[in-house]
Amino acid sequence: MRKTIILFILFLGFGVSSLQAADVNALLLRLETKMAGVNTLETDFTQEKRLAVFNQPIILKGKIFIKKPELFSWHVKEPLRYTLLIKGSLIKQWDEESNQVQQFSLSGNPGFSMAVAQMKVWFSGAYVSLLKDYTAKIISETPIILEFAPMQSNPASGLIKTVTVFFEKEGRYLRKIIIEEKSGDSAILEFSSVKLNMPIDRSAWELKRDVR
Amino acid sequence: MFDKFYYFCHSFISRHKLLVSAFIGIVIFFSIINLSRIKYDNNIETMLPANQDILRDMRFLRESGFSDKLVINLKLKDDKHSTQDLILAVDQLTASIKSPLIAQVISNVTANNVISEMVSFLKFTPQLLGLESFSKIDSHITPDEVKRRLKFIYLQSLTPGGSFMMPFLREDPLGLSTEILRNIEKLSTSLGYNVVIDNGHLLSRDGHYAMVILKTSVIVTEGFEARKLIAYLREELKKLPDYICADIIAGHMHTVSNEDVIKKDIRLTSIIASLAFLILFLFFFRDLRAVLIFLIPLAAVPISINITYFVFKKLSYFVIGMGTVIAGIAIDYAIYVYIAVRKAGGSPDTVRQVIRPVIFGALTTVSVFVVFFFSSVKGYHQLACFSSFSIMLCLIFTLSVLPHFLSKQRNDPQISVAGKLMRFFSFKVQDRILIFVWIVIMATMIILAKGLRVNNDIDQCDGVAKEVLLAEEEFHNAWGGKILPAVFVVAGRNLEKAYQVNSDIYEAAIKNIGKENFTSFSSVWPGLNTRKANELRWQKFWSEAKENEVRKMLIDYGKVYNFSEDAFQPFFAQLHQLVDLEIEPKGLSFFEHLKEQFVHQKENGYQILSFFPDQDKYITRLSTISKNYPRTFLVSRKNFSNEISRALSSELIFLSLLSASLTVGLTFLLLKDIQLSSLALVPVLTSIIMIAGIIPLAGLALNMPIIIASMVVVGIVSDYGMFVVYNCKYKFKTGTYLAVSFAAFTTLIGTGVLLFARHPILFSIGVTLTTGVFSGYLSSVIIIPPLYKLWITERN
Repeated sequence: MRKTIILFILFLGFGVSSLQAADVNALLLRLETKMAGVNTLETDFTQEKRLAVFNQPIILKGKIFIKKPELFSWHVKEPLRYTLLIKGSLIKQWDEESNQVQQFSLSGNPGFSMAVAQMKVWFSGAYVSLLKDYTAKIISETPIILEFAPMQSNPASGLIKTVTVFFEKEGRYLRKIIIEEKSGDSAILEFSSVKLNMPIDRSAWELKRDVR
Repeated sequence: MFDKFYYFCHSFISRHKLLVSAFIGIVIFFSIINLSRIKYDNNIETMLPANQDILRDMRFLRESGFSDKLVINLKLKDDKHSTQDLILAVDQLTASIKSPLIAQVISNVTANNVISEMVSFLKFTPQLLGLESFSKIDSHITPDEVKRRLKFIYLQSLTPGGSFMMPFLREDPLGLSTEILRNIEKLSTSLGYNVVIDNGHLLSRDGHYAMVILKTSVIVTEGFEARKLIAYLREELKKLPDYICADIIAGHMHTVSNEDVIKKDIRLTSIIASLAFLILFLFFFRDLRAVLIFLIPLAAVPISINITYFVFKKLSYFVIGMGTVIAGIAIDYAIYVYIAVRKAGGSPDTVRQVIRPVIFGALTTVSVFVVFFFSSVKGYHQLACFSSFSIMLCLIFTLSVLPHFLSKQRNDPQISVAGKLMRFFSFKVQDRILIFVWIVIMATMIILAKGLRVNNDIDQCDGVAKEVLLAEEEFHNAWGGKILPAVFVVAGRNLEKAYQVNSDIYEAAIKNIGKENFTSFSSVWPGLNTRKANELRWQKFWSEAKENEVRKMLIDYGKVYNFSEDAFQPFFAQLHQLVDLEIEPKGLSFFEHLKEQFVHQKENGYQILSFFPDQDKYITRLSTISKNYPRTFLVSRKNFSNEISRALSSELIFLSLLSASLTVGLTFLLLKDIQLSSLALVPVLTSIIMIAGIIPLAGLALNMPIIIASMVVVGIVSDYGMFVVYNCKYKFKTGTYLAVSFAAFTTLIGTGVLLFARHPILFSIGVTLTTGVFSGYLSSVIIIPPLYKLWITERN
């Protein structure tokens, strides 16, 4: 009898997790289908970094531009002007402090490499394939909020605890991302004034110049 | 005595013709049947001299991990597809490769958490910072420098990847480990490849190329296995999507391609030569029995292959390739006997008249090959055995069997087309003018021979197809790594000792050729004694006062950027936490990867490799250091090729002199007269001088194949000299000039077609043999008779 109960509980547990996995899969597939229609994205962002080395959070403001499949740019206006351009595996960056353009590859910059991989993942919309490297949990279905935790085999697991992704109502683009790091540091990235599939100004892919 | 024996054999075979033929037929039949059981060896090492340094270098190159890898270079064909599509194709290919020939497929590098690993590695900093680095640390601990570092950390925090870098920066705010990180980076790129890791995949900088590395058990020089491996991979590459093209980059491709080019050349030359032979015999002699001449070497070759295999237990493919050409030379003896019988009838006396020059001709040719038994190259022993047996069997068949199958009636071939050939040479020019022209030509060739240069580069033997070279060019354009470095090898029975010697050599090498030119694992992991000394220095340096001074500066100057007071506590926490010196970093994949690349475990110990540019100046300087450390040696691709050439050249010079002495000796034994022997050697002298003059004219340089081909020429043309002088002396009507002409023409057909070969080695052999045989032949029939008249007849 006791064995039967244990088996029943195990079966129930298995059933629940299977159902949960099926739900996540279906939801991610739905999101992927919706985001597949997005080829360009332009958005303002505010990033709040809570780092143990600082007494106060650092707040960054700027713009993000994405043109699928390979163009990505990150322009910070405050507290310091900084631009990052990514094309494939090549990266260029400029900051007003040094006023120098640096070009490098991702391979020699592990921190950058990790950050770029994260940005690419969350903006790509290819969420189903993420399940190879992350376990996903549905926090809310309306609006959609998902929590991803990197698996042990994922290199990000050494640094990231969870990534919580908030979608706007229609699920066509991201509203907010919260990254909790294992060190206790965290970053909240919020998006506003999102423009989808609109032509992007050429200056978005240039360094140094201000982006309107 | 000899004549008695000859007549006895002749009459015995005549009486038991069928029995003897059946016996030979059975031997040939079983030899052919047994060919399928023979194990051929395509290992180039068989053809290398048994020089300890060469064998050690070859063994090193085989086992060092350079030769057991193949790279598949995948490329996006168009811009419509993205890097993501390329990655998908890589995954598809990786999943489909399943073969016992491939031990491991590396397409996906697990980008383990590099930052966490670096943070863990920082605890070894006290052991790793050497005396030179310490002098720099002091300059890092000044107010200005501390302010600069704090500003750098603040700016880092604003970048997208900044927060991920924070654990590392908190452990090393002063950037003390910068030197160590630089060394790690230098070591990772020591082979000069430019690889970007994207999603764990190995991609080129522009994202248009992806690399898949295959580890194989197939040794690069093993031709048969290499062919199987390449064929398998080519099949797998066909399954890739249309928008991807892929090339195999490996030493195995050179092995297979060289073999293909040689086979293609041999096939083409064999077809042309066979057709030419048949046309020559059937149209000139108009006698079906002439085909027997052609069949004699074909019968001798399978028997010789079996005998050589029985002696050596395996048979080099290269030897068979060269030996078959040698067997073609042996056809000459059958031609001499055939023409003698046609001219003078098939009586035993006719054969007796040519038997001496034929035997001595064969012996001089055999002597050229027999000297190869004195070589240190194992493959040459096989060549000597195979060629000697082939020639001797041809000789036996020619003298004992052939005459019994030819018509007993006189049937002078001069009546037919062959006669016209001889009339061509019977033009009347004054003997002195002929000799004068010959001397002028020889003098001109001697002058031209001054341009003769020696080329030791083993690369000239590489006749790899253009497609392979183009694929390699594209690969190097995308990934770099075109120029491979030379290697400094430290061998040790135990790892700790090897590490320490490696450290000592590193110190000596960087002083001698500069740090930028020497990449050593010691720059990241020195030997125990060095690490112990470093740690003591570290402890002495970080006094309490120094620690407090740095802590105060970080807190005070950090306030500007709002750094918290304990922001850099991890740095101070590990300042005096020393790690056991006996413990090596464990669980750090970057360290394990580097160690795998630089430290190799062997059956009887370890080998630690360091890399440096493969240039003579560095090799010379580092060789001096190596001499001070037993169990260390240098391996340079360039040096290796020179070493082989040097060893082979000196050996070949000795062998050439030996074979020349034997040729002279045998010629004297046949003619028993110094003047006659000197005359018989005129073709040998002419050929050598002509080869020396023509080689630079043809844009070639003297190399090992040319020296060997020249030795073969000596063997061939000495026969012509012997025959003509023997004929001048005895004046037998056995059609000597016609026989020599046919022998020369048949040989020239074989060597002439080599001039159309694509493989550089076959081409240079073709030039040497054609020049040598042609000039030797012309001097035999044109120069020896007038010289004989002027010198010998006038003497008598």
